[in-house]
Amino acid sequence: MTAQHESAPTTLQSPALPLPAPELPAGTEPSVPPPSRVTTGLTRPFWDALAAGVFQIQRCTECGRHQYYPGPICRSCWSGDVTWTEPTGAGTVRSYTVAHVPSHAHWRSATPYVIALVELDEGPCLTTNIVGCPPERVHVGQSVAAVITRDAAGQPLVQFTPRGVSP
Amino acid sequence: MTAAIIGAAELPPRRWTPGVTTMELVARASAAAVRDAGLTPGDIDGLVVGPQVGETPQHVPATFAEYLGLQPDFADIVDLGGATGPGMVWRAAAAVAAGMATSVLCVLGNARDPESTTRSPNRNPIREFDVPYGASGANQAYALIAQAHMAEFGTTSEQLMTVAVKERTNAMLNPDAVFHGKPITLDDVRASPMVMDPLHLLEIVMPCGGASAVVVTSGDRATDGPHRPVTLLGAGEKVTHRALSQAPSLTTSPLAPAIARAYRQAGIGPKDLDMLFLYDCYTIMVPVTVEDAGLCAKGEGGAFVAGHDFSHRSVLPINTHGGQLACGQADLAGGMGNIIEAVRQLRGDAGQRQASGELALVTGNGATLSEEVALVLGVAR
Repeated sequence: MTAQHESAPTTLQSPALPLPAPELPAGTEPSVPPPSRVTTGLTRPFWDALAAGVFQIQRCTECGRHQYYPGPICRSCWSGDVTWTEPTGAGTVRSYTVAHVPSHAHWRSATPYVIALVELDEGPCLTTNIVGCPPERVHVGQSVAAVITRDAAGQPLVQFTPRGVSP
Repeated sequence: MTAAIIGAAELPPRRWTPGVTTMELVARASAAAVRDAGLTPGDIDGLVVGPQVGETPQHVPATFAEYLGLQPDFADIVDLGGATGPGMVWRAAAAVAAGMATSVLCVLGNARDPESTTRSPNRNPIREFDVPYGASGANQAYALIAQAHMAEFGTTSEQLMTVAVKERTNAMLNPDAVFHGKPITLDDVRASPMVMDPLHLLEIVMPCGGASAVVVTSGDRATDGPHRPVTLLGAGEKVTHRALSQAPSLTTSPLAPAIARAYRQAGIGPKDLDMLFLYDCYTIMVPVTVEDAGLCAKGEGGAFVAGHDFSHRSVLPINTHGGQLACGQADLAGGMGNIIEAVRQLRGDAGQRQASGELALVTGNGATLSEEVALVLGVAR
């Protein structure tokens, strides 16, 4: 990991459209559709904002803790006073794997692709992909920044790309 | 705790079980375990079952009780993934201690029909927040755990691969193992397809059909049975998350506090153990577990498993039946299989693979380092 030459953390402000070309699903088998998306009333604002180019997580106004994925209460202090906030989009790769044989057939022809756990600077950890970087360059501790993309069905994703100069 | 396992039975795990239901397999394993205990169905007044994906969505204990012809005084369902078997045993012991039942049947099974691919329809929030990234199934999650362990401690892929090789070797002495008579080498593991880097195909458990059951009763009744009672000396349980992204640690599992509690209850420490039956859905689970059991320092699990003798002749045998990686994982019954093998070994009924010793650690691991149970089992010297 290197800290040199890092650009300022990406702030994902609306409007970010047009969105970058989808990197993960490119080349996926059109005959095998992705698993249908699941959304609830509580989580819909997250996806709606993401579709509009804004990456939001929750922040507890009582204890100040950030959380992802969204919940009805703060998972730390159980306060119901949680609000949406925009993270800087900066984070660190906590772990990753290069997918060669995905469990779902939709992603088979997208291999190899990188599944990663990224810890945001604000604290929460999320499951995502590292894109814009050859899989062999991805490493634990790598500094990454969020980028909003769309899957083959046009649904939004928040993926991550290396920040600054990767070693 | 004054409870003991007095009956145990396992249907050999098999790749496919065409044309049969999970309930049929459960019934056969139940009958065998109760027979093994020297009891009759009328003696069973407690029943603990597992969730039945795609087969019996609700009222599971009542459905099974009726199917088995039981009218239990205590009926429960345990849903802790791979930790379900060990989780059942201490709950059965607690029910006995609370005076709610005297003899509790704990049973798990899984049918695998090649014609059926029934899976859980919705695993929100994983379904909502992980699957859209091509991150579905357990393989990718255990690969993330392995990669984190390698990055943090310098664990090597080759160290992980040794687990698969050693368990296959152990399965050479277990005719019931799905991979009995099929030894592998490090080169075989290395040459097997890379599924999720760093995990090769041969480092990943194979789904099977099968079933296994135990009977738990009070310590004083246990001596009436035909076998040496296997006493539950200690138990521990810990649940920390479901989705790996929410795990407090990628390299220390909730088994650490679960095992610590089991040791405390049993009044023992890691150096007292004679044999280990460790949950092994993926090779990485074994090094993580030996660390969390205090058998080596955190981070040294890779070197430990690479240098350790897993065989029944070892000073500390590990998974003498071959573990799930070599014996097969009949879904939730795979975790119960570790208990069955511990009972065989502690009774002295393990035949050509008999190890020596009186004190065993059994671990169960559900989801991805999420829901964990540890048992310390023993027999009187």
